[in-house]
Amino acid sequence: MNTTCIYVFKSTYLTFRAEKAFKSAGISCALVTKPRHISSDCGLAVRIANDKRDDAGSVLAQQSIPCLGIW
Amino acid sequence: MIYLDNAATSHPKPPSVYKRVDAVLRNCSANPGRSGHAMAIEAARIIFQTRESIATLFRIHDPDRIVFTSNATGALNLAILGLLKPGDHCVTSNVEHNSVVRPLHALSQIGLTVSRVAPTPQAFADAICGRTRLVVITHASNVIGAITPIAEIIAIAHARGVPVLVDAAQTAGSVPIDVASLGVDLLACPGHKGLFGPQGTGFLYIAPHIDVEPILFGGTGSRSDLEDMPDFAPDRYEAGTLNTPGIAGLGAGVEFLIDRGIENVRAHETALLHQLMDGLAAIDGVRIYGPLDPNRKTGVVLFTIDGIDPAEIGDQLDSEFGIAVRVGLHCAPQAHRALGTFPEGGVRISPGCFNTADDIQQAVGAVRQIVKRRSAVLA
Repeated sequence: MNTTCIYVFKSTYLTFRAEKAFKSAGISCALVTKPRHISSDCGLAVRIANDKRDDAGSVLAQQSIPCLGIW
Repeated sequence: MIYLDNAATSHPKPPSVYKRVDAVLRNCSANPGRSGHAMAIEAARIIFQTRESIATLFRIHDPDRIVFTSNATGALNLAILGLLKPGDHCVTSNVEHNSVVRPLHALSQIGLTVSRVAPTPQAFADAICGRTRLVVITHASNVIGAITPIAEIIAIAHARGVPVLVDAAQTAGSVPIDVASLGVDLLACPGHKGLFGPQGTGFLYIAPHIDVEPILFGGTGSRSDLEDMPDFAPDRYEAGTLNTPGIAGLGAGVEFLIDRGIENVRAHETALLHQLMDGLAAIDGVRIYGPLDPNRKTGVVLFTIDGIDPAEIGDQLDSEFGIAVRVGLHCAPQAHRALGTFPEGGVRISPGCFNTADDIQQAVGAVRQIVKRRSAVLA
């Protein structure tokens, strides 16, 4: 089972906003290239630990950051 | 040299701007928003942080609606060409820079109607009609520095359902602009003037309710599977590789202003204006144009000297006194026509944040000597 998951956002700007919001909330995260099986884009995504998904969801909702999907 | 041409571009910049540009150019010049390696991520982070800093300075609630351009002209062209269509009507003032005059003129060749009026709320109220699609107004004249009452003009336009594009080329960084409170729909700013970025930087803020068509097409690093431009900002308007070192420097300039406070910059420039206008007004034969109250102006003073070509004054200030000013029409022929200074133009002295009272004293002394010398020749 995967121990991490990937959050994908519409734009690079939103990706960095999410990273900033996660870090401010103490959620460890890393920017990674969007995996090809998720998107043909050459952009970035945010990787976090699977067990932080609930916290991450709350942060995104609080800050009104729309997420395209989680893989 | 004493640099008094800040209305054209600011000089010097805060030391942090030089350092940031140098560091990014040396260490972080990857392509932002494209690749996923560490350097590309850092480059994209610099772009993100600059957007956030600009949003803080201008009280913009939607930083992703800040679109980087190569200068204010690029921002104005994006707004004007991306919004207006043949058959539309646009109201603008008769003191606009050519960066507004020329794109509007180009569109008027294919069916746009343009009303050019005095920069007063009443004139705009009278000119707006049912076909009016956009109001374009400079926040301050680049020729005489007069500050336009944009709050009143925006209120009038909004009451008629018309959005407003504000050209803040002469005010961004030196006059506080609260986008949220003013309800500015589109704000065009140069990065290289009052915001202290390098040349080749600028931005357009597009409010979320305004739909501007892109005028530049190409790669964005997003939705690469589509032939259409992405439907979201800022990507929709930022085709091609951004000027990362320049935007990094712009970010450092904006952070400098946040730290110092635009009110403090404004107070300093107003004091210099006061000294400059008092000094020039005391010289026989010098004619000053525009408001005489420094509180109604940005850091720009236009003057002429009876019987001396402005170009000759500029040359003498430069070659004999080491003082840099700008002469001529200042890319705003309509404003000079309205002032009666067309086609010769005038001499524009524009102090900035880093000028001192001593700089102004030397400039006034130099003008006094030029006049005295000319009087002696004529006697």
